[in-house]
Amino acid sequence: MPRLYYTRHMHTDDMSAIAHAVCLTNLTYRYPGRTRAALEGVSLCIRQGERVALLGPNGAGKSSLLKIIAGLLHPPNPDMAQVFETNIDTCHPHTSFLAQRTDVDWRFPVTVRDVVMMGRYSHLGWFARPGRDDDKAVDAALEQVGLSGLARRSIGDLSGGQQQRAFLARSLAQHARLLLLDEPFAGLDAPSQRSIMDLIRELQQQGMTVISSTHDLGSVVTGDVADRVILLNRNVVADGTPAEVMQPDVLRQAYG
Amino acid sequence: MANFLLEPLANGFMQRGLAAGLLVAIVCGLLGCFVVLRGMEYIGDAISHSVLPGVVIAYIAQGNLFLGGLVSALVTAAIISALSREGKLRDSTAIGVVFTAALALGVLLISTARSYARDLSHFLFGNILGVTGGDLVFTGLLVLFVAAAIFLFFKELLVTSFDPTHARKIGIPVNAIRTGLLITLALTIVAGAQTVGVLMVTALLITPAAAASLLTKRLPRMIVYATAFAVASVFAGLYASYYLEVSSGAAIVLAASLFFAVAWVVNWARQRRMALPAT
Repeated sequence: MPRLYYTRHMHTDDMSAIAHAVCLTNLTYRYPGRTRAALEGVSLCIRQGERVALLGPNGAGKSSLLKIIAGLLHPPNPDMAQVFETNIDTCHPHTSFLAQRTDVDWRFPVTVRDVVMMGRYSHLGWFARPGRDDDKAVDAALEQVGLSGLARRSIGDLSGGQQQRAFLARSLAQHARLLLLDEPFAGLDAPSQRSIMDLIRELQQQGMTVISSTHDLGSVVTGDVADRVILLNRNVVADGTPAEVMQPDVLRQAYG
Repeated sequence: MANFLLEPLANGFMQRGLAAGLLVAIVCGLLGCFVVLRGMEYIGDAISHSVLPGVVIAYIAQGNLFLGGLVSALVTAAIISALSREGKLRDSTAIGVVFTAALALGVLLISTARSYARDLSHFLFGNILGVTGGDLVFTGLLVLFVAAAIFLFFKELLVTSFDPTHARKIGIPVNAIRTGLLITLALTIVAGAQTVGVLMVTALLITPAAAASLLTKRLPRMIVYATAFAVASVFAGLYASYYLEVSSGAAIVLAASLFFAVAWVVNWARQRRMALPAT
């Protein structure tokens, strides 16, 4: 029986021929009913395998930009935003979006394994049940983030860092190629932040593109979060290596 | 003991009442878990109260009370959805505005009726002994529908409840699933109104599921426990109402509250035992 996928995008794991993970052209976005645009004239391209930090003050449009790339918000003109060189008309199966920690109900009755299995759902579609391949993908993802021993625990019993890793494992099980992280370090203690940063770097070395939003200037300066920093304040204020962007006069343009 | 259990069942109306009550309990246990996990308790309560104007209109027009209540519940759910989707109002605000208006309309219509209507009080407080064959068939079909929907769409219900952003991200129609749940909720509330009354039907949705959530951290198990609690509450409440001659709806709801209290104590004792240092 043919599978009924949730989206009509191709599910293929071979995307090595595509150069760009994200391309935005003069992207403008305004929330319905608001007079001021959340994003205005944003143009940028991100190659596959880059590790990018979106930096900017509150209300700079970091979350909006991530949600547009994730396909959760729709730009006025579909040509303005491309993921893997196709217009973002529906959600692409190989991008993965991790919401802020505060958006998740941690009392929910699911195990770590259940959460990681949710990454497989986009490959299953309607009515299909997880099979042996899905179990294998979940096991491998849990192994890579170091949570195999905690697979049967409730998600709420884990520490903040372990919860974040479980969600990264879900992206791995999904076979995501583009990881969109909204404030992934917020609310975590320093050792947990460290371990998540190490894990993100490991994923990048395997060819994953990672875009994370953050307002933590300190970790961006040291280059632990990203190789490339995009300073955002409704438009692109600066774009370059951490050393280039993290200059007082450059930051002042965004933070005022 | 056998006599104690069998004696009430000698009456045909008691048999029908028990059958209808058990079917309602099953559907409430199944659906209640998702109502609780998605934080839809308040909207469930709102829908149940908004059944009133439809019932009164149907009563005045001498139509089918059941159908009147259902239409009223669906219209209210649709208005609430439309108001909160615009994003100008918080969900809870939209619910508060709409359901109090519906309730007031119901009360206003009742006050125009010359005599206090006995049939209406059955709808408000439940009259499990007045269950008809048609009620039984409807509730039976509803049980089949809800059980089949949960079985077929378990993945989608799970992921949209736990992480709606991820669900939308992978292309699941989150809004359609929410709308489907609201319609099912309205059907369940109207079906349960005959058993425990519209004023208390949400208790049968929320309390057993809440008790179950204290005892397990796996969703499939929670669904089984919640259904078991709801069924046990209907049994206990009905027998209590037969032997003590008290309102069946209230007895059922209080039985569910009692199960919840037990679950709370069990959960508390478990946590205490875990918190104690190993000796």
